[in-house]
Amino acid sequence: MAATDDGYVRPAREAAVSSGDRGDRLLEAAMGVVEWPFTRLQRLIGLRRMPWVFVLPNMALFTIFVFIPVLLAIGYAFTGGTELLLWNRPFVGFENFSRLLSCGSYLDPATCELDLFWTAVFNTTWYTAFNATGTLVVSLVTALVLNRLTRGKAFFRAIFFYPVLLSPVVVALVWKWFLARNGLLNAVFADMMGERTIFLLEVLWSRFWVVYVSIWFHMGFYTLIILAGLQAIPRDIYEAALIDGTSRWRQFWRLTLPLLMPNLLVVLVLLLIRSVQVFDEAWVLTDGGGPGTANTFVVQFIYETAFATDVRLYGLASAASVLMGLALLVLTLVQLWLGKKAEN
Amino acid sequence: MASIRMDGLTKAYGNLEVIHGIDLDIEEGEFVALVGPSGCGKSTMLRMIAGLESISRGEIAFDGEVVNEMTPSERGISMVFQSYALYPHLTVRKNLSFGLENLRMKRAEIDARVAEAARMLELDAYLDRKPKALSGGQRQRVAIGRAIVRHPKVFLFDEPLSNLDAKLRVQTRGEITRLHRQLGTTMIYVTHDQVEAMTMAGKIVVLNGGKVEQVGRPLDLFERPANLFVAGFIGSPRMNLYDGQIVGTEGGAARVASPETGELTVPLGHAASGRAVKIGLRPSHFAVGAEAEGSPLMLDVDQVESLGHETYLHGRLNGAETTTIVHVQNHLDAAPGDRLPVRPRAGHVHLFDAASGQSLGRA
Amino acid sequence: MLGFLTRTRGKSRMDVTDILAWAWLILGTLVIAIPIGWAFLSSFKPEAEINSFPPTLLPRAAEELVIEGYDEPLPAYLWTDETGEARTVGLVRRIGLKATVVDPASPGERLSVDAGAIEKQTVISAEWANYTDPLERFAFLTYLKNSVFVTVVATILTLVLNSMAAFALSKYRFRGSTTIFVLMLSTLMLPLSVIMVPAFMVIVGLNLADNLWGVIFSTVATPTGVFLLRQYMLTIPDDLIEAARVDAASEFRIYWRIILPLSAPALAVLAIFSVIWRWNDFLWPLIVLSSPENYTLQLGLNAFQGQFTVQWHYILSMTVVALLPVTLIFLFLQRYITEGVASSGVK
Repeated sequence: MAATDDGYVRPAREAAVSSGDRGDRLLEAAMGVVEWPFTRLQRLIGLRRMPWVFVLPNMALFTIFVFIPVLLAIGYAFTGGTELLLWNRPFVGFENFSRLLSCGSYLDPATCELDLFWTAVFNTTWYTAFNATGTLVVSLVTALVLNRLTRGKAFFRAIFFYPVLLSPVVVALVWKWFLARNGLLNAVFADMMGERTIFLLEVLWSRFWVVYVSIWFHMGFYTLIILAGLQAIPRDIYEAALIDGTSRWRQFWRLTLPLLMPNLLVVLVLLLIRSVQVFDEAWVLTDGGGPGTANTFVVQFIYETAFATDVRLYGLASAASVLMGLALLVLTLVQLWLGKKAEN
Repeated sequence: MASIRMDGLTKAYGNLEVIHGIDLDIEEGEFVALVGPSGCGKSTMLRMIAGLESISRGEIAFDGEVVNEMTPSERGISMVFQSYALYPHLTVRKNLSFGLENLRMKRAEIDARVAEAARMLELDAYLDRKPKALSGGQRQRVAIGRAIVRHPKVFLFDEPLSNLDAKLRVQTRGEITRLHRQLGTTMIYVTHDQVEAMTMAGKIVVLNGGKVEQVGRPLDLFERPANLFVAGFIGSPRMNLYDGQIVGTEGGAARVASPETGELTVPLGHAASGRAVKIGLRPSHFAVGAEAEGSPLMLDVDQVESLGHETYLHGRLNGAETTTIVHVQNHLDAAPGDRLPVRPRAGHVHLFDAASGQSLGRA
Repeated sequence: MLGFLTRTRGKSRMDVTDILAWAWLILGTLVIAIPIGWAFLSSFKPEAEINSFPPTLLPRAAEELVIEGYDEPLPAYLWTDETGEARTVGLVRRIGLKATVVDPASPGERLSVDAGAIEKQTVISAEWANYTDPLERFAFLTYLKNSVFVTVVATILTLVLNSMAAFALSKYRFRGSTTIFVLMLSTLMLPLSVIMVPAFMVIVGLNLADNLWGVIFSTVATPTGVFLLRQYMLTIPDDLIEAARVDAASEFRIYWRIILPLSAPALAVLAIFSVIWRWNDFLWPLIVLSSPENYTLQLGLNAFQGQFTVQWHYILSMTVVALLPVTLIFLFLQRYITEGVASSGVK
């Protein structure tokens, strides 16, 4: 038993609470130091202006590092030269855009003035097409399978989600080793084919593995989103269908898929938005977009044009960024429109 | 303790005015109930007194000092919220002491006040529990305790009993009344339940559509409702109201008639013949059966609610369409289909102007 | 196990779709686990082992024998003599087709045998030098330190700044609050790749190029975090704030003592995500940081693998170091993470 300062005699267990109380008071004292300027400020400017004090730090950083760059991006796209500071750069009008867009034939990158850019656009297009459909199908199937589970759901959900958390560099290196000349895949492959293949140095194989690794990396995220959509479908609909004697196949095509469609469309657009921005893991995996330019994507073009060459063409890179930004804007608007439609 | 004066108190959200210039005086130590249907502005008014809602026009003064621009804590009020608004992550003790710590009060003083409130509300055993581990009634008491420890000048209650079950509600009503006697603090109590207002308050303010309909002692409102709204709102079951007409005046008296009541003579000096009126009769102001033997008014009974010690008869007077409710003390043997003589008690007939709804008097 | 398998959907019989479902789950688990497991196991192989083909699954090293009279331990070989009898011997030297071996049972006697009759012996062992060398000989300790610094500081700042902004945007109605919120949301979809160049210019303008603070400051004001916290804080009843105001609490005290403790679940989710984001960040640090002593682990790893392409034993060990924190966080907090993602759509 211990007598505490409030004069009560409490059992020992509660005395422990009051020692926590002491820590509490210490924290209280420490907080007083932080609190003091805020309290003074409130007395000075009044309660109604306090919310501004709370948003201000976040807004300041946000303005400096996001808003201002967004505005500057457009400025850069219309200037030339190699100076980094905007006010030192000459205005060149649409020159950067016309360079990017001048092509003999848009179907053949080799006829374009900047063939690397158009190669990147083509590569990004096929990557986006395969990656988006592939991820959507794999995620949908996985979500359907997980949704059926009565036990072990959390376990398998965790397994499929785990790669999402890894860093792009780690993912690229793990796969690079798996696909290496001495890698595990070649150990199996050589047994069957009689020879080893350096997968990442062959155009078709490397493109296949870039998409494969990307699906492997991100599918867990989309699985979770689709799974949440599936779980939002009321159970009693299926019970009603069961009583009606609806076959499981019909249940899927006539109930699950239509009810899930808004969710799937949003996932698809999200996938498109993310696919267009492919860079990190593909860049590390293919040693900078190789073999040759088989896996060079638009973001890589922007990054290398602006930062990884001796002549830093910030204007050209920004013009390419603005073009990509426009493509993303269209996709975002589509997504908002779909989201609104789903709500109604 | 403080007296409160409101002067032309107005609240507007943009162009929408919800409180229309209220004037009200509250004496020191009074228990005032603000009562009215939902949306009448009673909660908004309480929150303006508390300082949680800004004042669009007019002013509020505590003890003659205008408090319009003061924060809640500067006004020295404390408030019990409808949801109790207990801090869910703090123990009962911390819930009680939080406000005192904010005032940078000495630890010993805080502990003393918490102990005092806990003793008063019998919360000693729960001081180290979190609100989640308490019953509804206990939470309610913590909410009151949190208001007490600050020794406020004015207590504000915002429908504090609406989350309790019927039995606890009656009990807590008693506790709050006892608290008021004990502390003698000015209390303002918002409720939509006229029974709470009638049983607890010393003064009732009936609000409707952002305006004060009537201010008075509970019995005054019951006996002398100033208008149709108050007449209908105060008293349960509601006052029976019939469309009638003044058919003639003789000296200081007027004869009023309606299909339900037939012709009644009421002492009314200033009535013009032919004026349309509403005749109000409270259910409890009827003599029934043997007591009303010989009355020309007959009640066709449709439904009988017998509670043992009292009886409610639902029926029609004089074969009219309007339903009339009659309340009889004690048990009365009656069955649907019965026809009973009834007589309005003298001095309990209310007359209202049909157009304005204002009371013309009682006779 | 069979009982568990057949219990799907509460039916006693397994049909084709059940079998396909389980096949998918098991296949998926293997597809996810094998590359990571392979990299993990390989990271413990000594350099000689890692370059041999066909590879062994488990990390192995040459077995060694300590034999009396020899200062160094000798590599162990299995010698099969003419009679077909096999025994373990230590190899002293090998010249052409002949090898000199010594039997540990009789250390004084040297035997000259056919090189074809002996076979190298290996044991399962972990090469910890793969882990210690890069930390000592290369700058990986610096990279690790930089990564930890960026991750911890950025996460703390993210939590403080985002929660303050979320508090203001969820609990006050003030002029401009909607505008701020909509502006933030609209940039939720605006990727770094679009503003890469001007964002770098801002960093240069603030003299933060090649500085860890340049990486930190530009990432802490996440619209995602503000959004996530705001949605959570909206569920905290406003009554509590008014009660606290009546209780004479200042606005900052309301934020600190009432709102923050009650937002703990959302703060935890944001903290977890912030740690993972900042630990894994690649493109932005790649642009901002130029000198190796400022590299984060991800940058260091990328640079190292570009420079020393054959040093897979080091690359893999550092890859494991890079994935370890995230893996541990996930092991302990996976429920929070998956539920946080499912409910907020944040990644």
